[in-house]
Amino acid sequence: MLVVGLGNPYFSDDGLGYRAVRELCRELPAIHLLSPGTDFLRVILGKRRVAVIDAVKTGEKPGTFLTFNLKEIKSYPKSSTHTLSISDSISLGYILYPEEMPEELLLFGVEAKDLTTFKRELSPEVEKALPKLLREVKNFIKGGEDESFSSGR
Amino acid sequence: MKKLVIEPITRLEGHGKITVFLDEKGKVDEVFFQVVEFMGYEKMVEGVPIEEVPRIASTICGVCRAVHFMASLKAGDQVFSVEPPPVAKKLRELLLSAHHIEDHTEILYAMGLSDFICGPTAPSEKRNILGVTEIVGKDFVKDVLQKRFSAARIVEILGGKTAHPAASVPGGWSKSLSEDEVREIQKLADDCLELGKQSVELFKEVVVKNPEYSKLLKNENFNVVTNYMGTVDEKGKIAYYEGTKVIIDPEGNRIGEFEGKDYLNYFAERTIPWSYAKFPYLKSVGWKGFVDGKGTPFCSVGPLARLNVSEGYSTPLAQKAYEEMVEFFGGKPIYNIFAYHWARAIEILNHAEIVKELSQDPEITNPNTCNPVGEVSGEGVGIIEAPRGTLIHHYWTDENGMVTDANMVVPTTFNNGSIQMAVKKAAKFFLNDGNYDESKLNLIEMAHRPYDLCLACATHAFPGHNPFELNIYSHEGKLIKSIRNF
Repeated sequence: MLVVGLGNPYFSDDGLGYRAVRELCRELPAIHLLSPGTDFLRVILGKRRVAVIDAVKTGEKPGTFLTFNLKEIKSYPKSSTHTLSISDSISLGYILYPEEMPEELLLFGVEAKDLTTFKRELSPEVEKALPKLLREVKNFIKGGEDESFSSGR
Repeated sequence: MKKLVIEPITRLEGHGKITVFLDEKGKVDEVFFQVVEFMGYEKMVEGVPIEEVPRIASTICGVCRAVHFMASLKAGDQVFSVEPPPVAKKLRELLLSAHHIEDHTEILYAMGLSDFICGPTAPSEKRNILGVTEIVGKDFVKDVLQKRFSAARIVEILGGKTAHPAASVPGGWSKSLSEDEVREIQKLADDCLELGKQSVELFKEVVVKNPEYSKLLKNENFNVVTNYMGTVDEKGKIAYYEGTKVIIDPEGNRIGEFEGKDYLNYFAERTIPWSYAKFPYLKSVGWKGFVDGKGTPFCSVGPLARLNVSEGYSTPLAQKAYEEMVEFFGGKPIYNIFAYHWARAIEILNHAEIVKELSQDPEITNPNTCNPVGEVSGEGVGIIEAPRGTLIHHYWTDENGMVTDANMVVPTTFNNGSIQMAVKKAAKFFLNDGNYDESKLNLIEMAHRPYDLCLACATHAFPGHNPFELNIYSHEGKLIKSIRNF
């Protein structure tokens, strides 16, 4: 099992993945990556259950907790000409390493308010959502059942 | 289903844009390659202790992480008036070479060669590593990826973290290598060496031996004739971590040599209203607009530029591959933009040989990896060769080493003028038949991809993805067609 936090720690809510990893690494295997290229693939290979944490923009109210399953992540359109997108990395992983890719992979997101201000603090809305995010990630990684898990979707 | 938007397209709130204006006859008149976002890391590091800057600068881009780290670290040495011990320089060089391997491999296989393996007009969703996998097979891609993982593992061992290095210390390196780690790096270096050999062979197999692609390599429509800059060692061979910065004119004559902040004597930057990225040009030539050929103000950087300014590579296998390439083109300088990919493949081999050599250096486990810092000088310039080309980080600090001002000149910015001309040439070549279908954006993108441009670095924004849009306007200013790759 592994927790992967994505995003830039210096741009407010984009630092959500980094902040969550910092909180979780005391009790769970957790690492931070700036963006999801082939390094992302490298670190998740051989892990049965993987939680990916990132700030998201979906049009929901800032601070809304959201999860995305594998199918939803893979459906995200490709855009990169410089490195691989998360959908390409994951799709490539399941093509090349079907035996080694996670049996379960979920993306845990919180709707971002501010992704551009150079500061280490999350916005108040995202900060408020952090405890729930951490709880849900722990439940998922440890395989626990929690009704609120699905209600947040 | 929910709409998932987690990619840089929204994070950047902007993207690259190519705008084409047609003349009255419907032929390409003007082309503008625009960078329309800006984040400005130079302002962000103001007030930050210089020793903290490498860790922040490494987040400019998720791809180019080790190079901003290394350039700012070298600047920090100068701010603290300290020269790292030889072992620290070797560790830094080892990390830089391993990073070049992982970076060039991703760019060459997933981005550059996919144009040729999948075909230039393949749809964008197929013209990527997934499309390459369909054509060359899973085992081949798996093998390449595994060897790239080996380079990434070397970066991890040396840098102390999975992706972004953390082992920076002014005057040295914060961790020494254990015997076990060296043995692991030596083993990983063998993978890198195999990767280097197969990359050079694959380029020859897929591009040089293909009659159609081989013609592209010699097609003058894809020549962008500029000045070139790179770093060389005392024998004139390509160097990456340190050495003399050399500038040649389009005919190959050496017109400049500098170190440190003397770059300011050679370059000025032009700001253009339609782009957030600046346009560096040679002061000695002066701004002449977007022209290539003799008298052009632009100076290209990157693998092909390094090859053009040098006497070749410092290692035997890469040198042999270099000689074959120069023979193919009938001499130097080489102007064809697709030759950048060839030089990139040779650099993978060169770096792999360097990694192997350094990993066998008896001094590499020396535990004395740091020298004590001296007086705060208040200024430092770190220059290295990044995968994309010459990278300059220049900092000014107060008496406590807190940054008061910064200037970062990155390879994509140096290449900005050259990219403009490459894109214009490609647009003139591919768009003059009046047919503006989706494949046209792919064909024009092929002209900027050799420069491996990183808009994140050029604007110091994050995190390094390049969504693109092509807009074609008639001579009356009416939008005829808009094509996006996102």
